[in-house]
Amino acid sequence: MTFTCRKVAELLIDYVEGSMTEEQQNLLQMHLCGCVPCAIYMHTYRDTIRLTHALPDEPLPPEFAARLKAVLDETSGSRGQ
Amino acid sequence: MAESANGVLTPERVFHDYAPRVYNLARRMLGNDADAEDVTQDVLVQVIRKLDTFRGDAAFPTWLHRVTVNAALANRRKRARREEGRVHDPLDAFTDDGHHVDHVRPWPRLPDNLALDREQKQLMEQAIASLPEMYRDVFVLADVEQMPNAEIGELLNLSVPAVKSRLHRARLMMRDALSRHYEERLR
Repeated sequence: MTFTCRKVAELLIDYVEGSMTEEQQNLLQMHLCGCVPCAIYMHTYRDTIRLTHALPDEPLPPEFAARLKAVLDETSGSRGQ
Repeated sequence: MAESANGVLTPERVFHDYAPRVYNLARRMLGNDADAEDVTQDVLVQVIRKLDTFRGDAAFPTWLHRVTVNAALANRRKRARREEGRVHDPLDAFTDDGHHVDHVRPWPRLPDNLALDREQKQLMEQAIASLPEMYRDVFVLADVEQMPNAEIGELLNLSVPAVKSRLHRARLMMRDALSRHYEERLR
């Protein structure tokens, strides 16, 4: 049995999670050794996850921050009454 | 984390520590700044009103996630925006016998200590915003917020296999979108 490129693409999520069976891992490695496009595909799949993990939260837009602060202060004030 | 030095969650803490997190989660799920602002305000007003019930409660961040996701989904339902046309499945980009249809090109090597510049951040945000909603929700919660699949399934009422399937397709779509940018750099 051998894996097709499509099968490799389908299994990438299990591969990066480390949840493949030993047989699947062997078949995947065998395929990757002889298939440059799939090796690149796997690498760029991993890079996509790395880039997403590196995405920082943006600060609130200043106008919205001021508006929100005013609303929260008002809400907070009315709680105490 | 949610509490002030004496263990009390204050309105100031809520604003400074949590407003950006709520805002960014809502913005990425909704792909729209104005709607994200509405959701952020609704959620934080709700938090302030219930502040007494969260004093010293370690479950606060989880609760806040849940409330934000539900508020974003409700906002989307209110807009009743429908996505038109068939969603492109990246796994269709293979021939009948399972080979790649298009050339697969490498990207420039990413540094080990990855810090995104302004252009990369914009590229990522645009790519996330262009994901179909059903995939975007799972992607934002799993890969941006880094929540476990089981928790995402509970939040979105999906089985864990369904979460994984959507997450995988979302990543493939993101990979395709980013490829257009990064492959260009090598030409």
